Amino acid sequence: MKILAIDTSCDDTSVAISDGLNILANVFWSKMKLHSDWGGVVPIEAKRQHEQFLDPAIQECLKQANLKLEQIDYIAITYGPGLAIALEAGITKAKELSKTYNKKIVAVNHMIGHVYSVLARDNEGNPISDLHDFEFPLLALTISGGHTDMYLMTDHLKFQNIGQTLDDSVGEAIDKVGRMLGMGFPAGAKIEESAKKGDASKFKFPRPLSDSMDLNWSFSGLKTAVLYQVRKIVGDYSHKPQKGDFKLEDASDMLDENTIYDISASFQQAAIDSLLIKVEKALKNHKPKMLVVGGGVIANKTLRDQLDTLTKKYSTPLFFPKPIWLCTDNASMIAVAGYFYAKENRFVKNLDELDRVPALTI
Amino acid sequence: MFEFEIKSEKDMKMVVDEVLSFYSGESLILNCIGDLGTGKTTFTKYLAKELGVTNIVISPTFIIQKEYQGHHDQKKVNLQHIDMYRLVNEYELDEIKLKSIFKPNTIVVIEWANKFLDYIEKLAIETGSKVYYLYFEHVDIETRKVYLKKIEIN
Repeated sequence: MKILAIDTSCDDTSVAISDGLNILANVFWSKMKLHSDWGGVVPIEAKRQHEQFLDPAIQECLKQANLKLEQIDYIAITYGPGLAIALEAGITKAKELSKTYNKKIVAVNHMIGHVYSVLARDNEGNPISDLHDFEFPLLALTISGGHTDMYLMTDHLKFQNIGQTLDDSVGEAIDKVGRMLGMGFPAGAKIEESAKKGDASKFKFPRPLSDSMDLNWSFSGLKTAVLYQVRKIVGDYSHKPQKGDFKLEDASDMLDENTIYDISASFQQAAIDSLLIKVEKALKNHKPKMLVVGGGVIANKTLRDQLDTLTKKYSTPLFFPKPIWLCTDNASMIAVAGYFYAKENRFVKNLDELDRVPALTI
Repeated sequence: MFEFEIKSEKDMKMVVDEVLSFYSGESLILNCIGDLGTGKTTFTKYLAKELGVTNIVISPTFIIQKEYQGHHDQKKVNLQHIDMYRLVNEYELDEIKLKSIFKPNTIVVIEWANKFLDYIEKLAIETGSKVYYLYFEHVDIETRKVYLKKIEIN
């Protein structure tokens, strides 16, 4: 089964072609560098980029896979969650291809894509992340810029939400702390690099909700605690926000290098502990056959190592997408999830009803 | 100008009560202005709770706009939660169709509204919306101050 997948949920334009779970081609176009100056994604720029690069990306993918569009069986498209106008660019293209080439569409939830990214195989059929198939019940953790959620899966595509953040996602907290420390956007890799040189026990940051019985998280309070620590060190550096004033929280000029390293390390450990406390509760309560983690934040190696230690304690196998490109947004995971949607006959019945759902949940 | 001292999260209900005290289904815009961690999203959570919204209100920084259904005085109220933290240019506001959500029976909370105040006020006049300003300030780690200014700009 050959699937052409498109993901335009945020600022990366990604197109992939798979044969079953085997990824034959995956093409990215990212303008991340242009966004980092001021600290975020510019939605309208992302949309323009998608519109401009979707066609060449599709052509490049077909070339790499040595296929023609006529030979594709189905189209898989991300319909949410994500930035509304960015999602729309991909959906419009998918509908156009569907009509021109008479192909059925599967509309894929981007977050389900992140969970399924671990099942991607290379073009020879070898599992890229050393996992052949899911075993249920499965515990799935999705951690990214917009999400911090935990699910219990009882079968393929059957999800039960058992935990989520009550305010900010972990990725958002990382990016906002990164901004205070002058690291630009996205800040994940830079925080981790900086944390390596710092002392994680130097500052006492909270692990919000760690005593609560449920499996929910809160990262807003952790972010604010870091802000207060920074203020305590440099004196109150903020002023009332003015119109057109975007950089009010960057305090990096007033902090010495070692302090930035220590804040990074202490914050990173608090964020990891917060995640792990609830993952451990879920391992105890639900005794899953395996833990699967997806989303951009699992690119963090310190988190990977500590999750590994934790899951070993419970003899629960741990899987996450090994290469970084499979952790962050990509169309391969949409192709892989799309394969399971197609196997279950979950096609879009009426093209006119296919619409973006920016706040889509699982 | 109303002034509230927020000693614990629950105190945010006082602000919500004042905001809703004369609300009767008009188009209402709440411009929320304040630094990171001063309680803008917490305020929105309590507003949603008061409107009977059952979903968990989370930060919309990532997706920019989120919509909830609630009710007030036995009438349906549409709650729109917008975060302008990531937006840079006014034409992006055209793109998220801001004008189309300024309508009766809708309360629009706008975090980081200070970035586009002129634009928001212009649309508010065009759509006959009421505009309130909420300023959020840090006092110390446990305490916030919220100032509420109700302005009839029409």
